[in-house]
Amino acid sequence: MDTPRVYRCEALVLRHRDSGETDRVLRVLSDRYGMFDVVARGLRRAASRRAGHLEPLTRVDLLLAHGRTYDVVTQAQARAVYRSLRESLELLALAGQAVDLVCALLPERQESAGVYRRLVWLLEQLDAASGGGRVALLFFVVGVLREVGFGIEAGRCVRCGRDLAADQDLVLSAAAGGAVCRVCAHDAGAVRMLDADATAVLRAVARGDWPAARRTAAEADLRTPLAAALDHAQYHSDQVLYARGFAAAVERLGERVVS
Amino acid sequence: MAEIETRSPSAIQNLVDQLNRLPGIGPKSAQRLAYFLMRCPREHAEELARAIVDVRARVVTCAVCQNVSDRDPCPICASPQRDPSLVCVVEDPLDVAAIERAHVFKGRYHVLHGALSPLDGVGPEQLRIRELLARLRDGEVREVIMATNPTLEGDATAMYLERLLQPLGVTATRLARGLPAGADLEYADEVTLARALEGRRPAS
Ligand SMILES: [Zn+2]
Ligand SMILES: [Zn+2]
Repeated sequence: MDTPRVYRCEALVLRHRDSGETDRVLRVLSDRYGMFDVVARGLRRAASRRAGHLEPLTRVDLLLAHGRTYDVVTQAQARAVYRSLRESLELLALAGQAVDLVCALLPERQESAGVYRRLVWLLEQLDAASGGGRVALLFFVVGVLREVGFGIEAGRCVRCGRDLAADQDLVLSAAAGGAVCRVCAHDAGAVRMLDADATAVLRAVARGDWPAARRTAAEADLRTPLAAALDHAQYHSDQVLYARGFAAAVERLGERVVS
Repeated sequence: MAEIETRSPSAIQNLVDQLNRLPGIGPKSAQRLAYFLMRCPREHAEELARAIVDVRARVVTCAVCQNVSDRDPCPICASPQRDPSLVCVVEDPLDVAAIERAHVFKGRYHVLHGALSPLDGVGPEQLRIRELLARLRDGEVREVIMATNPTLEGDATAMYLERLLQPLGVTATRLARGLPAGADLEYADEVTLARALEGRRPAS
């Protein structure tokens, strides 16, 4: 029996690139079929009725037809466009890093329903714009890393196995795969040292405890734990996360406006 | 459908590979073009080759607006008819051509040569933003119109520039966004509809 010519799925549009005169190739993460590329014909025409439904960071119901190189979008109806997120540079910078991470970590066409649910959750959190965008991104990054087998160990030293006291500030090594004790930190290469507040957040995040992460994050500067988590992702995926550069530029902009 | 197999002469294969690098040209189109160029009159093929060499040798970047031109400053920047206090910021040289075709804009342009991308990490240092800020320094420019594409990247670029311009006392405006001509309300997405409503005007 042949596979049906068309199929439906729900997806998040991650990226897009121009193709041909008026087409766009979209990288999507779907609920059922993982991450893959599809082509949307005529999407760059000003009068395309689908364009607004297929922008990056849109959650969309798709009807796809099997194609030779890429499957073809035949229908698209946006479920969520995350409008507040779209209108804030800071939130876009956070979402951009999440998308970049997903693209770096997931293989093509491999069912990744867990990562899909996490990304929907993150975009909803960011769009709600109730503050706490950075801790939501940290929770997402660490959760996705765990899901793809690169979890960050925060309870024991990943080198010698010694338990790390609950009140001890964490030292994280991307190459070692998580927290290292003071002794092992000496020859662990590049490390990031967290202060007490950041340690509390990272421990909650590593446990998957969102309420605790949210509560502890109010006090903490999350830049170091977030950088450590993204270093970890870069090291284990062996890919550069370029979206960090955009986020850094937005951060500099904030400083410039304030000063 | 006949495909070029490994037996294609290497000169053809080389041309196919070169054509294949062009935006929008897939392997199949590249083959078709290569065979066309092989069969067409020799002068046509030579004219094309010369045009490609020429464009790289003669086309320069206008130091004022960063657009591509055969002169520096470009005809638009050099024209006394164009209002120097009004600058329209676009992503690409093709956008300048598109706006010029409408014959309604009388100011000058600034070409960024791309857009910021939060998702792919294209940052401000990769665009001609420093050159734009330099143009604003002498106070001649009063208004900067953001005419970036209504995409995630174009919007991010406009938002970024607005923030940069704020402290400089230059008015930043954006193209009205909403329903394109010939569109059907029923099919409009939520963002487009919301923006069309925000941009409404008194009926006259
Ligand atoms: Zn140790
Ligand atoms: Zn010029």
